[in-house]
Amino acid sequence: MRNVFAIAGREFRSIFTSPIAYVVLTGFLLLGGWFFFNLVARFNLLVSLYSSFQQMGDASAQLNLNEMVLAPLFQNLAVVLVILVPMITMRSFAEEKRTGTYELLLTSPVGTGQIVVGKFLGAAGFIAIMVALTSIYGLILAAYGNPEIGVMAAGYLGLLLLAITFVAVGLFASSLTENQIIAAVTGLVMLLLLFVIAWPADSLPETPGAILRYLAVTEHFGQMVTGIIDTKSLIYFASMIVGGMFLTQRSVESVRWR
Amino acid sequence: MIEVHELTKRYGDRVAVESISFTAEKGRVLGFLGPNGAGKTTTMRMLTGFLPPSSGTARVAGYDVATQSDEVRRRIGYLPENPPLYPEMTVRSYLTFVARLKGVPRAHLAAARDRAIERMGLTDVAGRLLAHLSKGYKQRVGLAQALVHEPEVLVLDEPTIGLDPRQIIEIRGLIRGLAGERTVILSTHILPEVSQLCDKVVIINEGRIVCEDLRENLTRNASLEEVFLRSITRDTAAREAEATV
Amino acid sequence: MRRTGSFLGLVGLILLFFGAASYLLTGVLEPYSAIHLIVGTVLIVVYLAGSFRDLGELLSARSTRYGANMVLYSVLFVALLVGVNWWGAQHNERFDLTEESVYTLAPQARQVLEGLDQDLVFQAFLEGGHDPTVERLLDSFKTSSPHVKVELVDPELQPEVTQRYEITAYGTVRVAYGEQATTVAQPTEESLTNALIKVTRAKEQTIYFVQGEGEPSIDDAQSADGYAQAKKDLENEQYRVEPLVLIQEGKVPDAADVLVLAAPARPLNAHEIEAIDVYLAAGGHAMILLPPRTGTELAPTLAKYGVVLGNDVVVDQVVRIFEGPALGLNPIVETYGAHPITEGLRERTIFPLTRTVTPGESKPGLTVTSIAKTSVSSWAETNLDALFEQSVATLEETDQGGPVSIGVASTAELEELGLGKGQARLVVYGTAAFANNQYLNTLFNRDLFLNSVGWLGGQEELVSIRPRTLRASRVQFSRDEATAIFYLSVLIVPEILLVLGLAVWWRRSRL
Repeated sequence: MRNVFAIAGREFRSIFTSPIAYVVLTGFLLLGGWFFFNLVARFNLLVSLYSSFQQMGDASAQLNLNEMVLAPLFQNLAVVLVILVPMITMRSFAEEKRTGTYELLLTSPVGTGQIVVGKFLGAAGFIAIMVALTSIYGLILAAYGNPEIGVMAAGYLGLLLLAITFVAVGLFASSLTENQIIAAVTGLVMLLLLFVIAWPADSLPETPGAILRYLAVTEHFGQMVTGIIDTKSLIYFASMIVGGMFLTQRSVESVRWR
Repeated sequence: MIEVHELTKRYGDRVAVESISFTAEKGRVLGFLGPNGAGKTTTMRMLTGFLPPSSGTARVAGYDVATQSDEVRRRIGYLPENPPLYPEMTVRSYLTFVARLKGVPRAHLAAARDRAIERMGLTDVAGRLLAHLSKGYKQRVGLAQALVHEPEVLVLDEPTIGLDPRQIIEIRGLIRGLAGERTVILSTHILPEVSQLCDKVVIINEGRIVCEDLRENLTRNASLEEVFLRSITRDTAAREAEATV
Repeated sequence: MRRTGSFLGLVGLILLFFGAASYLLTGVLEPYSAIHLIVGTVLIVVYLAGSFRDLGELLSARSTRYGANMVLYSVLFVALLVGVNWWGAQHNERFDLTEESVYTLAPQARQVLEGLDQDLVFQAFLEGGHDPTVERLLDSFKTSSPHVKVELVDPELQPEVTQRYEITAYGTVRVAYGEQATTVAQPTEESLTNALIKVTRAKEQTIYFVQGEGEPSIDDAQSADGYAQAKKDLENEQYRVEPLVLIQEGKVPDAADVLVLAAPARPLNAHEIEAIDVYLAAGGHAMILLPPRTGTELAPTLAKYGVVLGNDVVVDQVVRIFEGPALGLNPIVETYGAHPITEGLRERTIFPLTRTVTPGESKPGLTVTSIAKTSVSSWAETNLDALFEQSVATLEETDQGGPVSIGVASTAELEELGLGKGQARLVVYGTAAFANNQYLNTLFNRDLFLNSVGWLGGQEELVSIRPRTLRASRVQFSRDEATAIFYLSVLIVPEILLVLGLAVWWRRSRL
């Protein structure tokens, strides 16, 4: 455990001292702020439009912040995370392999599992902070409006789990290569695949379709954004995280029997 | 202290190290001599537990590198060919990190780090980023990380490569200072280094040991250069003969 | 040679992977997948054959044993993960964090679902095969019971299915349970739950339509007065519909779950009246539709059950949605009584040429409710001669002003009334035209008609569920606040982060 924290702490600090971390953080919050402000502006425009037409009063009674501001905001942020998380995780193993510090790690009395968990915790910590910073949007809505807090909380939980799952996948991509660009692109492709894997589900027979749908991260994330927390989704996210770390550990360990 | 017995490493069908055996006694410096690509780095990686041997055994401080890897790694300090430095860290935080990794108890972390810094003459640069250090200092930090946990065995892979003459002299001085308390294995392809530092010499060529003896014995009748050339030539000839048969 | 071998082996693996993926995705063995699979296999065989002589050596090597262990371990681990997920998907629990539990089925529906012992299939006929609202709705049913299956049908792609079930509108959902099936035109949680209750109810009910005295025929699909449409709609709801020539049979069959008497053109004779009397007194369920000037001979029977027929016609000259007779004889009903039949019904229904039907004096054992009332602007015109012969209708002192009751439901505890045993149910409307071919599908007449039959048949289970949505919410800020929020969210936060990054870089560049 001590080793895990040593590695996690080093990883975390190393991310925070790299310029790319600040570029990613700034970019993420810039886009997030832009989405948020425009969604709120559009929402208020719709409300005023609807209420100015008498007969649309009914429709205006249905307008709510959760569906019209938070849900699209979360969906957009998820897409941005698909691109930004690999930028953070691409370094974790690839960089160590390139500079040779990998040899230091692997010749220390530390298990490969500990190395992987440590690196995961470090990167996940950074990404969690990144997601946590977007809570200012929720706080603004809660301060000036009355969104359903439960639905909002489920959405944030979904976004956090999604981001952490992405970290596990990105880490695996990084463990496959010593080239950061390849690591980033591989990670990006894997994450995109997780996003779109359910697309052919409707034209497939029931069972394969259901399996593809289950595999898609959007299925579980989308449900959480609407305010439902399903134990199935929690198991899915946990499995993706554990599975990603397991594959990473395998990939690190594979040096030993190649 | 180190007993290597018929150690072999294959990559697919290429044999990098073929059935080598040698021993290194406690407190001695063993020089691992050979041309580039002879299998020095591979041997060292097997000794440090970075690579598993394909067959054969190697024992470090009585522990088998394949089956008791953790015990071995606890007792070894390793300086790879490129010092494994995190450029974004300061010397001090880097050495603390390595000490933690190597299992130095929390209470002794600071002491172990400061001892390594002092010993390697890094006091002036302790607060600087590794990225901003000169090559010589980087090599010293590499040495410092190898001995921060006071290992019984030091494995140094080409410790003076790429340094300027003054730095080489400094590093050699540092290594000489280490001998006596711990067993040191250092690989090199620079002959004078061996004659200056080593008690024992192992000459390796294309994955095979072609000569293993104490330095005094080898240099009694001829210079090290002659011994080296003779061994390599003899080995190459033997291989050609094998190939034609 | 060896290097070529392993290269071929790897290529073989890639080909196998793509071949298998395309086969799994398309489900058919197309040339692409077939060629990939074959060539991939051949390459791998070539590779294995080429390295065969090393195989023994390979198997004994430490790294191979280690690798094999790793592979075994990995396979076990993946199997464990798959197993956990499979188990988790079967035993999942949903937590609905919306304030009104939007995505959770009402207890009534869940109760029915828990009682399922075979598969319940929802077939949704959706434009392009998709409709998020309907899908979400069906999903909430699906997650509540492993027996629920959902099929999404694109009518364009599967016209044969659509035709077989006579689906005519997008958004229709067909609910099938064993032999039973019904369709829901406008799926809501409520309508689907009710359909569910209907199809899971085991017994098929039979409805008899009295014929023989000039009543509209249940097989007459041609004329506006016919009841063929009503018959079809009832059959869609899993009822059996039979004609009953009362004058021949002499009595109402015991199998009759509901008896419908609609607009007899000639007065019923004494035997017929007695048959109905006997049927009701034995705990029967009857719907009686008597337009003005008909069925006065039934008045005593109806009176026993607290129903009073008015000798009048309801005129409503204001509401003229359908530019029918200038007289305004098609009153529109918008207000309904508090009764299971009309619970949840908020839409309008039309009652062409109707008389008033009102609850009589209350008696113990009788529960009589007026279930449909015309608007305030209507009145009951008693001067029928003037109306029918001179087409004149004026509101006079003697006429009863609106709203007037034109439909009544009566529940009679027969023992308390001294009429017999059990419970009789009676629904009486002052018109028969509201359920004929012409009007049944106008406005919400069909719903009212089917609800009435349903209640008569004893389906109290049918429920009304309030539709729930996410609570409407607003966010309000002044102009200045909006500006501040814009600055904070779009500019200041990223700015701070950028400066922070720069500060870190600057500090570190001097270390």
